[in-house]
Amino acid sequence: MGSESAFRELVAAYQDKVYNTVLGFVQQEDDARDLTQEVFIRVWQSIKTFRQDAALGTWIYRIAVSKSLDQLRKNKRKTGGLMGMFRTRPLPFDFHHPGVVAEKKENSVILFKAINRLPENQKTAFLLQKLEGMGQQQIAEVMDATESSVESLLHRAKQNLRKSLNEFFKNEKE
Amino acid sequence: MKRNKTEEILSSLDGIQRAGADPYLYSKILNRLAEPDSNGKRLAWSLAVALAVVLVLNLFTVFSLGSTSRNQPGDNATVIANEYGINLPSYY
Repeated sequence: MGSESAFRELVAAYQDKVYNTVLGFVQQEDDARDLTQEVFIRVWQSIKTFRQDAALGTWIYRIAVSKSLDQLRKNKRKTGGLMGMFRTRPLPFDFHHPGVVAEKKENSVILFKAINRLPENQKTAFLLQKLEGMGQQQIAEVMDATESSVESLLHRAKQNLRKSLNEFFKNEKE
Repeated sequence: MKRNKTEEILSSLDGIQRAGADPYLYSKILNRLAEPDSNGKRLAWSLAVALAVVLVLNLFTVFSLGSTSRNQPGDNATVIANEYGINLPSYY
């Protein structure tokens, strides 16, 4: 009973953080809602094995990131190859994050498309920084990496995003 | 100009507000935790499909054997006798 009320408090404390994180990765509200449930189910199932060598929040973010990346890989498999022709999942779409200020909405749609083209680790570092406002140290803890490698990931992510955006403008002109 | 636009897009997530989770999230999690294990369900379905396949194959075999004309008794004996040049006794 005690653990149930503790779990309820934990869900209340982290639900928005988890939902916001997974939404940034999967960019589909329905998928993000399902994934958020799955993250907390995993938390409930494995809380007994949680070793306190990481903060609880870090551990929950790790689960959220890993579930999101799994979902993206699953989506890629579904839409790729011969079988992809028979799947109905919609491909590239415009994602409007509900938290973006009105005058930046149009630009953020383009940015999310460019983010989708980043390698997994650069995408993770960039999204945690932008969506959750994490510093490099916190990102390093979630990604189980060093701060200097996170710094380098963020630098490369921005370089790659600039490259993608320049290509986007070039294609737009043609 | 293009460089400015690129930087503008890159900074479009600055000041973003956190998206809010489903208000019924907790009760949905409880419902899902109360559901039977999805691995168990998958195993039950796999077993049911395997059983159905075995059943269909058995029925197919039974019907296909039933429809082929059976050899008349004695046919095999005649073939062997001809092969080895033996005269089979006639009972008529």
